[in-house]
Order: sequence, then structure tokens, then C-alpha cells
Amino acid sequence: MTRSARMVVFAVSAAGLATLMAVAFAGLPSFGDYSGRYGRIIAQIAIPDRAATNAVTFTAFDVRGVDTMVEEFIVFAAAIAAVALLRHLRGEPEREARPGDVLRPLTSPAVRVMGAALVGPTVVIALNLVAHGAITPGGGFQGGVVLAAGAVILVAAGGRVRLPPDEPPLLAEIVHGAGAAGFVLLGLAGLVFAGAFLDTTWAGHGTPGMLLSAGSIPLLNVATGLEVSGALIVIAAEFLEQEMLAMEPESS
Amino acid sequence: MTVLTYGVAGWLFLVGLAGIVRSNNVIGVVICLGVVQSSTYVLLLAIGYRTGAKAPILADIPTGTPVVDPVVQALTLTDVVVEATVTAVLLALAVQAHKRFGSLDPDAMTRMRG
Amino acid sequence: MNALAPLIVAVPMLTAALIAVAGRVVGARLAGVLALGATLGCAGLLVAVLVRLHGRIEPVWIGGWHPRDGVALGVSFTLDPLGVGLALFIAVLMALALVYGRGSLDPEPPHVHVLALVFLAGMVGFCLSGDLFNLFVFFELMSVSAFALTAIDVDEGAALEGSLNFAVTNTIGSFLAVIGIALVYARTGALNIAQAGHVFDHGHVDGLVAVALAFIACGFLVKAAVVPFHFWLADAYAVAPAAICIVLAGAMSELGVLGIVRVVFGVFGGPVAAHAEAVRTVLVVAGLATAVLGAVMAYAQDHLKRMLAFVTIGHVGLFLAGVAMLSSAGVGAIAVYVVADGCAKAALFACVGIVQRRLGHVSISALRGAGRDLRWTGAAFVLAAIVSIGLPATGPFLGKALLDDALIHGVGSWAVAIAVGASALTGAVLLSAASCVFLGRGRDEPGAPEYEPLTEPQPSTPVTMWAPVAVLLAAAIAIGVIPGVRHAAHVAGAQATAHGTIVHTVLGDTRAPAVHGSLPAPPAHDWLLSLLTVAIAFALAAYMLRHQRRPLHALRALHSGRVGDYVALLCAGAALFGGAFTLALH
Repeated sequence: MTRSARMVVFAVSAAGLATLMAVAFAGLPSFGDYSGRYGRIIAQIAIPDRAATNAVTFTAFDVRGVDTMVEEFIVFAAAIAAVALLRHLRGEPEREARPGDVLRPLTSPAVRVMGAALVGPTVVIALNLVAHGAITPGGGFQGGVVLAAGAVILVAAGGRVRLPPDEPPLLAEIVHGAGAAGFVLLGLAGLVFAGAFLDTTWAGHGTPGMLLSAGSIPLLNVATGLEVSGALIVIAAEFLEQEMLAMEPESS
Repeated sequence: MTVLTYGVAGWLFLVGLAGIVRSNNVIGVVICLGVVQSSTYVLLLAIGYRTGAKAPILADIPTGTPVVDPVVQALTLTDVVVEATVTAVLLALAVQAHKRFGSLDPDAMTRMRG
Repeated sequence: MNALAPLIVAVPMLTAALIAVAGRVVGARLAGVLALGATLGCAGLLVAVLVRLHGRIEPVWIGGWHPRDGVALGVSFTLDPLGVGLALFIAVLMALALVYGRGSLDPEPPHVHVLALVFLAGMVGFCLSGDLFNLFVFFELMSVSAFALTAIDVDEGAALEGSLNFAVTNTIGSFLAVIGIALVYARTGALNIAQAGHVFDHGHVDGLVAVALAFIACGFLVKAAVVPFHFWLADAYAVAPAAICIVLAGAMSELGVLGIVRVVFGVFGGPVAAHAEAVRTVLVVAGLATAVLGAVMAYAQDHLKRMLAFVTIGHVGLFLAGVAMLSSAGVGAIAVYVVADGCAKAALFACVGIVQRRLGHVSISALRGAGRDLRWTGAAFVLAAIVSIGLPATGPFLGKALLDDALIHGVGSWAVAIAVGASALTGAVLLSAASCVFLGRGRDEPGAPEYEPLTEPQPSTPVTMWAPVAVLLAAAIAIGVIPGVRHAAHVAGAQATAHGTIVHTVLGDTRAPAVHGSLPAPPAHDWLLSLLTVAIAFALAAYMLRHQRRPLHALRALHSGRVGDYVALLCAGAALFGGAFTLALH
């Protein structure tokens, strides 16, 4: 199709879709009026049953834990995919600047200091988010992403990533596989010790609001945090390992 | 307010699709896909909202306080992660495509025809 | 059962993670063995579950979260014979594909094995799950690994485009499904299929219900590659390595149809039953249109794998038409047809993979006569083609015959006429392609490329590549003759469509009673019809070999390879289905 034909087809279809969505959304409860029982029951049982004060993490890692396990493996698969698709591009040799290349100057000392200063708090916040997932807002995914962001800050502040082809894997590659395996193993522990796969009660109840509570939910969060941070660092490393030319600073 | 919230979800969905259809850059397609996905987040979260209710963190609030629906929040969390990973895979494909075809225009990559 | 069911998914996932951790230490060969072991283990667990199921429906609540006060809290794997049986077929197919891929896929480092295991886990989980959002998540797992596996052959430049089109269109399909799921949740307060179905049984059917049905169905129809969502499939199958195509064609497309079954009989069972005629019309038109388009586009192809991709699309159309009958006999027929046809299609792709390896090319016109030495491969290809048309006494014959009976009872013999026509045309395309490549027949096409191998031709076909072909062919034929298939199909169809039983069993947390009976053996007129179809296919093939291929410019131009076009047409399709279902459920 020509571009204009394509736009016409789309415009007509979009009008149709808009009408359909309007019809559908008209049947939704008013904003703020939702009255489903599923969420209410979960909010009622979170503390008595599992001593988990974060109802969202309780839902994601306990009641609907298998959804999270599968989702974790989606992240895992994406990291493997990124490596599989991009590893052929690794190890491009350094070369002289050619006309038309954009030269990127080495980062200034200010940026490097800023980066170094930010990495520490970022990692601490990440670990905090992961560890307290069952208690306060946060969890394995959120903490994992922040940890990966810390790694990216390092690169943005002037680090360089070189991944030679066919070399031993990054620590991150092992960590993300270990996190994924860990989640499944914790699920199996639930099967062995408590009679159901992904049952979280075997690791004790604890007091609501303390770090060690909510059964094995904190452990699942740790596994997830490892997996997500590892996977995102792997993906980021693959993307960042590209040709980077550095312009020497003028000697002053 | 109801019309506005659900309308935003619908709008994002259609605008994102329009972006994909019009785009001449694979990276643009990936970003528009993100816009389409964000419409599903808005819809899910809007559905679960309860006026006057608290966030679903149950520490330090009396039992029985109404909270917003935690289930849709968990669903949205899953949704966000899924979208991020699809984005990662698509961008990897885009990088490879650029190296091979020298171009990021999806209309230029027409080795598949008919 | 409580322990076995989650293990089915956990075993491949855990093995994938362990291979990823220890991969470089373990080496590619051992990784391959582990992957095969995990796949066979998964298959073994499925056999155990199927045996213990005794043809009943049984919910397994993951994490021990049983329903409270009639509200389903946890995620359930609602095990039924159709789901478990299909999952078993997929596991076996994956095992064969892994064996087949030993020779053909780049094994270093073991990424392929990891992705294959995750792909298996996604597909198998999809078959077992009884929760809408859980279905979506497994669907995404399956999709993401499929995108990656399609592009894995990075030396093939077009692989990127095929995978990109695949990824973008399927992801938009999933977004549509999520919107539908959100609408279902808003109305029913439930994500469990049986629970949502229970609420819809008693509720008022309005625009929201119709649009939710339409959007969720569209998500699955994109995966199944039903017209007009089908454009991505030919691009993806054309570039994916043959070992991956075996699983994509034999298993993944059919899961879209399974998704439709879950939606139509599970979630929306009540509203659909109340408007059965109209819903049947919508789905059967879509199915038959897909069957015809698949056959016609297959005719126009020169690329062997793209041709097979359109053949796959054509057959999926027939599967959808069978499900569209909204009857237990229809779903039972499709259960047999999917497995038998899946074996035949997998065998076809495997043969093409062998051709690609031995001759280094996939263009039919370029390969004219070049396959003369590959006698066994040629014979296998022709046999697979004839079996897939529905040679009497084979598996596809049984499936086809049962489908035809269901179509006659459901809508009328005009549907059978179209189905026969599409089958015959598809068969003719396969036969003429085989004659051209393996026998050197056919007219000289002007502008046909010279036979110059694009990849290094290998001197021989390893046993890991031809043994799966033999196994698949034998299975496709055997399904038609081994006893018990018709009974199993009847049970599968009956339990998958028994909406009331599903709701009662899942929410009551019990087991459904067993079902007795069997689908009838195909009467004589079905034998005659099949022989007629095969004869027509041969006649058409002979005609095609004598005459120039018609160019079909307009139709082929629509399949432009441009993702923008595909998305525009996807939106058009979604709007059409949305409108159709809204009218149907009025």
C-alpha cells in the first residue's frame, strides 16, 4: 500500500476502534466506584494470613505468584535474546576517526564525580527496595531495575564497556540465571515443605512490618531482584558495547 | 472524571497505533509501542481506583480501611515488565537491522514481499 | 496432581535457568542433552497427568490458594483432556525439533536451548492455565521466546525484518487482549476463567461484554494468523530456521485457536450460547476466508518456507471453522485434526530444512530439478503432502472427516465445499512444488533465478534430521488407525465445551465426572470425499505445472513486508471483529 492508502485504512479503523472503546468504556463502573471482591478479600487477608503489609507484593508474589514467575522468565528470555542477537557485533576493533563520525569527548571531571557519588546511594536504595518488598512499596522488580540503573550510571559517567566475543560471561549473566533458577527452586521448596508449589508459608510467619516476615516472599523478592538486575545489566551491556571513539582532551 | 480517565486510555492507545503506522524509524515504532502499552496501564489502574481509599500498604492503618484495588496494581506491574522486555528485544533487532541494512526505516527493509 | 501440574512448567524453566548459569562451563553438547532431557521429562509429567485425569476436568490451585466464599483467589491450572493432550503433543514436537536442530542450528553458546526450553514452558503453561491473566502471561512468554528464536539465524538478513514484523504485530495483539481482560475484570471482578464465566452467565450482555470478547479474541486471532491478522506469519516462518518452524507451525499457531476455545466456551460461554448462531457466523466466515486466502497465497509463492507458511495459515482457517461450530463434536474434530495435521506440517518443514541443507537454496524455481538426488526426502515430502490433504485412513483424514460432519451440522454443506476446495488447492500447491524441485517438472518461469547455492550444500543428511521426519509421518498416519483416538477426541471436545461443568468444577474445587462415548467413525461418503479431494489436488497440480503461475499482483502487494501496512490492517481487522461481535451479541 502507499503511505496515504495506509493512513486512510488506519484512520477509518481508528474511528471504528474509538467507537468500540467508547461503547465498552460506557459499561465500566464510574471512576472511583470499583467494588470487586477479589481485591477486598486480598486486602483483608494479607496481614492475618501472611503478615505481609504490602498488599501488591502479596498479590504478585504469593497469591498470583506463578504470574510473577513467568514474568521473571520473560525478562530472562529477553536478556538471553539480547545476547544471542547482538553477540556477533561484539568486539568491533577500534579505528581512526573517519569524516562524518561524531566524536564524543571524554566526560568532564564534574560528571565523573557526580556519577561516582550517585552510584552508592542508588545501590543502597535498590537493596532497600528489594529487601523490604513485602512491607513497603517496592519489591524485586523495582529494586532490580534501580540496581541496573546504578550500573548504567557508571557507564554514563565515563566508564567504557568492552565485551570481547567468546569470553567468559559477565557476572551479570550468571546472576540473572541464578535469580531465575532461584525463584523456581523457592517454588519447589514450597512444594516440598508446604505441599504446594509456590506456597510461601514454609518460611515462617513473622511479625507484620519487620524485615523477616511474610513467609518466603522476601526470598522471592531477592531472587527476582537478582534476576531483573542481572538481566537488565546484560541487556544494557550488550547495547553499550558499541564503537566508542574518544577524543583526547586538549592538553592545557 | 470518568470520561477523562478512560478517554485518556483510549486516546493513548489510538495515538500510539497512529505513530506506528506513520513511523519511518524503527526506534519510533518501538517507542510508540510503549505508548500503546501505557494505555493499558492507565486503564487497569483507573479501573481499580476507589475514591477516598488509601494505597494498598497495610502497615499502620487500621484494619478495614478501604484501600484501592491491589490486584490491578500487581497486573500493571507485570504488564510494565513484559513491555520493557519486548522493547529490549525489539531494540536489539533494530540495532542488528541498522548494521545490516544501514537504515532504520521499516519501509526500506523489504526483503519480504508477496 | 497438585504436585505434578506445576512441575510440568517448572522443569523446563529451571533447566533453562541452570543451562544459562552454567552454560559456558557445561558446553553446547551437554546443554543440548539437558534440554532434550528436560523436554522429555516435561512430556513424561504430562503423560502422568493425562493418565491420572481419567478424562475429567480438575482444577489445580497454584500456591495452595483455594477459592474462598466462592471467590477464586489464586491462579488455577484447569486441567482438561484437551489442554493436557495438546501440551503433550507440543512437548513431543519440541523434543523432535531439538533432535532435528542438532545438525542445523548454531549450538555455540547454548542460547538456543535456553530459549527453546522457555518457549516450551510458555506453550505448555498456556495449554494448562485456567486464569485469563495467567494465560496472557504465558502467551507473552511464548511470544518473546518465539521472536528471539525467529531472528536467531542472524546471518539471514531478512530474519530481522521477519522477526520485527512478528514482534510488533503480535505485541499489539496482546495489548488488545489486555484491554479485553481489563474490561472483564472490571465487570466480573475476576480473572479466573470459570469465575468470570459464572458472572457473565447471570449478567446483562452489553457493549462492554461484546467488545471484551472481541478484543481478547483478536489477541488470539493475531497469534493464530487469521485473516486479516495473518501478514506477519509468512514473513516470520520464511526466515526462522527449519527446526524452529517445526514447532511454530505444528504448535504455536494452534494455540491461538485454543485461546479462542477458552474464551468462547469458558469466559463468555453464557453470552455466546445465547447468541450461538451469530457468533458461529462471524467465526466460520473468518475461518473459511483464512483457509481460502492461505491456499491462494500459497499458490503464488516461490519461496518454499513462505509457501508452507501460507499452507499453515490455510489450515488454521479450517481449525477456526471447526471451533466456530460451537459444538463438542467440532472441538473434538479439531483436537484430532490439529495433532495429525501438525505432524504432517512439521514433516513438511523438516523436509524443506533438509533441502535447504543439501542444496543451499529455498526458491522453487531456482531448485527445479536440483532435488533429483534427494529421493527419500522427495518421497517423504510428497507423502506428507498427500497425508495432509486427507488421504483416507490417515490422521488428517479422520480430523477432516469429523470436521466436515461438524460443518454440515453446524452451517451446511457449502462450508464443506469451501473446505474441500481450500484443501485441494493447498495440496496441489505442495504437489506441484515437489514435482518441480524433486522431479524437474514444470514450465520455465521467465526471470527465475539460476540455481546457485546461497549456503554451502552439505553432502549428506544426518540421522538427526531424517529420523524426526519418519517419526512425524508415521504419527500423522497412525493417528487415523490406532484405536481410542475417536473416544479421546470426543472426551476432549466434550469437556472443553461444557461451560456449566467447568464453572461448577472450578468454583466448587472438585473434579468433573468422566465423559463417555466416542465420535462416530467416518462413514463411506467421507472416504469418497477425501479420495475426491486428493484426486482434485493431483489434477490441479498437473494443471499448475503446465501453465504459468498467475501473478496475483494486488493480493501479493498487500503482503508488502512493511510493518506499518500490517498494523493498519490489524486495526482494520480489530474494528471489524469488534463491530461483528457487537452486532452478534446484540
